[in-house]
Amino acid sequence: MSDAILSVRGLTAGYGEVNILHEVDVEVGAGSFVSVIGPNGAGKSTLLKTVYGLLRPRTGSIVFRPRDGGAREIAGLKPYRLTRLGLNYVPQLANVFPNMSVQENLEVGAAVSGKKAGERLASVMETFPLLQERRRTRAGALSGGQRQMLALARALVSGPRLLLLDEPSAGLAPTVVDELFETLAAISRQGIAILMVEQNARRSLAMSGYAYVLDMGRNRFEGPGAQLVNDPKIAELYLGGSGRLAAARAELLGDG
Amino acid sequence: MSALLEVHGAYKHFGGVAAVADASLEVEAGSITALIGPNGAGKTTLFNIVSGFVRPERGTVVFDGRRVDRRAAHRVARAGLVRTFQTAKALTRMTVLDNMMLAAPDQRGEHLWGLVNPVLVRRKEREIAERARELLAVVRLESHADAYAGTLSGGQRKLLEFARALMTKPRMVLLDEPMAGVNPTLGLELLDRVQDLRREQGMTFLLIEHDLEVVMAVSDLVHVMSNGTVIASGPPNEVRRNQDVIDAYLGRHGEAAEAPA
Repeated sequence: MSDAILSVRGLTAGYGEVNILHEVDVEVGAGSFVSVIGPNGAGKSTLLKTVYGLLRPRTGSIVFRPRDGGAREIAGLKPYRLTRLGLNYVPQLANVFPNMSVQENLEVGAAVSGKKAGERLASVMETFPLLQERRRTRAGALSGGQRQMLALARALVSGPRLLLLDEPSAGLAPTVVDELFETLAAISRQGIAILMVEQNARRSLAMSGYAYVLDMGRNRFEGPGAQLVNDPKIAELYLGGSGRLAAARAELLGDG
Repeated sequence: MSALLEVHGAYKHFGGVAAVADASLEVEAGSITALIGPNGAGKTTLFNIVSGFVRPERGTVVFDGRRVDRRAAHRVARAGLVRTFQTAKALTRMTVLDNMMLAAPDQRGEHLWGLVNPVLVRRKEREIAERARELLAVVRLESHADAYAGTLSGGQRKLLEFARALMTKPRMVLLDEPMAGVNPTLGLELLDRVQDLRREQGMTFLLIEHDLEVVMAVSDLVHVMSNGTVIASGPPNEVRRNQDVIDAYLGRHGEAAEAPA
């Protein structure tokens, strides 16, 4: 993909002595909607954390193309610098300041994001009328869905070219999930690229131009979302075995 | 066989969210039963209800023919039903052996009895220590008996917790993701011990596990939870082909809001 805004190559990362990701490749085209799915422990969240500089990659490269200027290696850059380059991240949990008002949360988002953020704040408020309405409410008093909207809005205030979303639908009621996915589609239509990790595999595949399936920290399948959504291989992956036990048993027998 | 554990219509809300909503299940005496389901399905909350850590708003928990849903956790444990946690809760500033001994029931030294007959107390202490060392051997931690529990790895702490649960001589053990964070070889041994205990002592197990390979390898029956309720029950090979179960794991197709590719 020549118009890739993000290009992850051979990424290995982990915690302590354990590698969670093993030579993972992911590419996101400018303005595209890409999702990453996979069973528990696949390494999905770790992938986003590594791209956003919260975890240092052990090997591999992460190339991002900012708005002005050519593609550059961003592995090892601090998150706040990535935000300024146009890459922002919405974590699954703890993604708002609960003791600040809605307005204050958005202003914090604007404060770290350069000069034009003030204007963007106004336009973001227009996109989320509910936040405008509740701008004096303490963020901690919002419902789960509203909080997720606030987290998204705050990320948008930084004027990103690419948003990394970690399981945005987690813990939300089904009707709220519908609303959230509509909001994501609207953000995508504005030309902002999205790389989303989701537990709701079918929903995210259905709205993704392209998708990657990770399993135990490795690339397993990839393809257009519409093709993967009905692929029986995916169900097999979620409800099959990991092969971990068989491997351990073989190792034990080998030792004996 | 008859049900050793019966949960009927259990409910528990946190804030506005129903973590467990009308959940019912049975566990046969002497079985290894698995509880599976996608993230957020309510599995751990149901464990908390069954083990007395959380009181259900509605519904009943019957263990061995007695209602236990109004009992505190330590009284449920005394009835013979104990649990382990997903993240092991060892007392890090105590030795591994002391962690084990603390879990033993009826320690006579704690009562006035000890003043009357210290010899009996010491004998009882020796018995407890012996049993603790035996169980540490079962999980291959005997060489760590005198180390502080804080020096154990995450996986070893889970093995310690499992062994500690056995100190109470339970009839039934609830295991919350026993394999998570444990290296596969140790995990395999833990599963072998579970199967031994069932075979030799008729101990009953209910385990939460994500790896379907593990579930299929050890369990007789599987209950599947989604959105707070049990949506399917059956032998492992049957439930993994169940359409409701597949839907629960992969999510339902919504009225897809189309985004440009």
